[in-house]
Amino acid sequence: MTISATADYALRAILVLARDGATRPVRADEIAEATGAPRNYMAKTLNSLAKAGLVSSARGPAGGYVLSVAAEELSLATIVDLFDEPRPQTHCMLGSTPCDPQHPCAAHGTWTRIKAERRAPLASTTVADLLTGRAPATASAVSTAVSTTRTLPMPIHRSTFSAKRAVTTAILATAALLSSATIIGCTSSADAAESKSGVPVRQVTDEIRGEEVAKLVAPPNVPAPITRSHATKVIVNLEVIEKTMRLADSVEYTMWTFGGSVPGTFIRVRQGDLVELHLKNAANSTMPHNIDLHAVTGPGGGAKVSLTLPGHESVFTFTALNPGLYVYHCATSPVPMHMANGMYGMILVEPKGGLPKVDREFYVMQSEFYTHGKYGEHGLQTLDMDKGIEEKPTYVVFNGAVGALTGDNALQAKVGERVRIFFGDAGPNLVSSFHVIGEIFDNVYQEGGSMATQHNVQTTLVPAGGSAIVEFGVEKSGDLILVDHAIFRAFNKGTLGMIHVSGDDDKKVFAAVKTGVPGMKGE
Amino acid sequence: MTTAMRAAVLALLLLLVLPSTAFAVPGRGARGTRAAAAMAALPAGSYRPLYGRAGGERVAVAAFRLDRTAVTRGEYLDFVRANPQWRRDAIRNVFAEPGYLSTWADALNAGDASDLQRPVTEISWFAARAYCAWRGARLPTMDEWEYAAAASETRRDASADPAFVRRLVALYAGRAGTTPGAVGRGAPNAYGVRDLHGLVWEWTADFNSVIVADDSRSTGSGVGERDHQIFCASAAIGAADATNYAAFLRYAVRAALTGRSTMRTLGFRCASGA
Repeated sequence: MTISATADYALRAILVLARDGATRPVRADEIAEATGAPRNYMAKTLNSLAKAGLVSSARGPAGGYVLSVAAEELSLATIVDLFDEPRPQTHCMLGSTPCDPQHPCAAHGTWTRIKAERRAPLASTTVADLLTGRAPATASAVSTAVSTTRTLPMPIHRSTFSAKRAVTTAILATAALLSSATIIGCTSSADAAESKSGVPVRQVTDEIRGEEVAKLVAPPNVPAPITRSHATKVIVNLEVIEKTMRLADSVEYTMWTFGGSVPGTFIRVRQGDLVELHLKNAANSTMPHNIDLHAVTGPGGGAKVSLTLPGHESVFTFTALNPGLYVYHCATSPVPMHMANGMYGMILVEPKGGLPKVDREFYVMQSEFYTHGKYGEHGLQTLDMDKGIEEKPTYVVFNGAVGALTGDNALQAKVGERVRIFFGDAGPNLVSSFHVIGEIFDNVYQEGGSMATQHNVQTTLVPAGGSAIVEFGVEKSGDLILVDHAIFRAFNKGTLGMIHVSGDDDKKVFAAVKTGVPGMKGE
Repeated sequence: MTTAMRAAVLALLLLLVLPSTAFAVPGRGARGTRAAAAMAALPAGSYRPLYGRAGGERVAVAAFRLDRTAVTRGEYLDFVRANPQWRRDAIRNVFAEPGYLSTWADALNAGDASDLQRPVTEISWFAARAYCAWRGARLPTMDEWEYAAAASETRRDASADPAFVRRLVALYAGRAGTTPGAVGRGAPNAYGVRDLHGLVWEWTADFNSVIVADDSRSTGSGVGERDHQIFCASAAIGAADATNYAAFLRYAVRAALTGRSTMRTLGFRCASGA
């Protein structure tokens, strides 16, 4: 297929924004200059891109345009289709007889396939691919879509992707990779009726190559970043284990766990991966359990098909359609009890380009415990349902226990390193005002989405059953303290963690000059 | 016809002929029958099920008899000896999962003297039903079981007592990582029945009649429908008492079972008509 001049300029503009717009807005005239487009022409093009939600603009002296969709998620087809509306093939190439899938002419199938194949690379190549010079995914998107969508119980119906309709659509939906086969070709009235909004939904377009067993690690560690640049089948083996564990010094609690730890094992996959999740329930468990992963597009997040008796295993597959950091949890009745007993963890779906490189990655999850005994009361504690219903926790902790991240368990980093925390809030009730004393978050992926949406943040709000990714450089030695800044919790209920930062200081970052208490060293 | 089968038939005939109170055999009978004293007589009454079949109203229960204690390994061993088709190395797959009696040392070795006093577990519904039939009894219905289990030591219906519910939840949760102890050590409830909550989950005849294993967040989970939604928050929809976590736990376990299922913490006791 040919690409019109307007679409070509739009592609160039997007590339400029993807390259330069990450750190500052880029002015329209700068974009025009960089792309070689006439100013007025580029202004109109940018306006179209903005209406489609692909770029955002800000006014004023520091104003300009930024990309409002992750480059890793933006296929070239999404951009091109805004300007080069695929012509509905309602007439046969051989004549004027109306042509549609129900009444195809002789040339219909072949021509549709040729058009689809020519367009496939646009659908399977993202702006990030183009920017990094990475080879686009193999151009077998057509057949792959057919073969892999079988794993999803989703009806796949597409209609012509109209530019006019797209203008009114949501941003994320337009970023979805489009299945090319269904976009080009004849338009049938049935198709049009089934997708009135014209908004494409996410589809499985990636070719699954190979198979691997997910390496699962316990908190506060996370598996290494994914280096492969293709989708694969990932087998995740998760076992539910009920066991008595330490909640605080001399305080124990019979936890129900995913993988033997609270929070549960961290799962790391890549967008487009086909995940085959094996949920085992240990033979000595006393309860049936299941799993609802918020990363799953499907019935109950998997809960509907994963109720598992002790000594048994459930298996289901899902395609990681949306990148982001997601909570998973048990959803067996009574769900508040299963969650209050420790049944939660997180799964990271890396965007296709991966996350920016950092030196340290940690897994921290906040949650509450409701015990019959008061805070610190020794012995084996059990769930106090009344406190749960009243939302008055006895403990609010990071990583399942008071002191899980302090003292000898403190997280470690060195001056000059960049740190990323995958932070989750399991609840069951409270939201978290996550804060690191003595640091500022350079980047926050609010609510665990796939983009750094906020910069230079002191405290980020994390909903129950939600997450956030925070990144910061450590510039000063000493101890950084992780808290829920609803500060009574930190002081009286255990919500404390620590990052011990070692190394040489830059006194320009911080220096104590004089302390108001005689003899006190300050630092 | 084997001697054991003849004996079983004779026992059945005796049960039919004689009123159950007429049994004078002390302790456990040679053919697995229990003395009348081993069963408690429960009067007719009613209880309030977690998922009502009549708009949350109480459900009537006719008078019946219920084993005071769960069936032990020793008792079940007698059954297996008399009915070799229920040995773990002979049972047909359709009647039980591979977990059936899997922690026994071998097919006819249920452990030492103390083990024989523990409730038998790793029992399928088919096996439990066969045992009770052999004994001339039957499994209790879920209504009967819940009715009996609503009693505390002092009250016949303590199901709305928060302290009682709290205790049950702690008992259920406290089973993790432990081996169930000997039957009969728990205090008798108001009907004289022991260990309904303290030791193991127990089969009921119609364990799968109220709820099915489905996801709760689908819509239309009205009372009286089959899909009673035991998952996630909407499990509370239609429940008689959303704070009765003990009941939610029991119903969730039942919902996860099939007739072949076995669990290390799932046993049974038998019932009979009044």
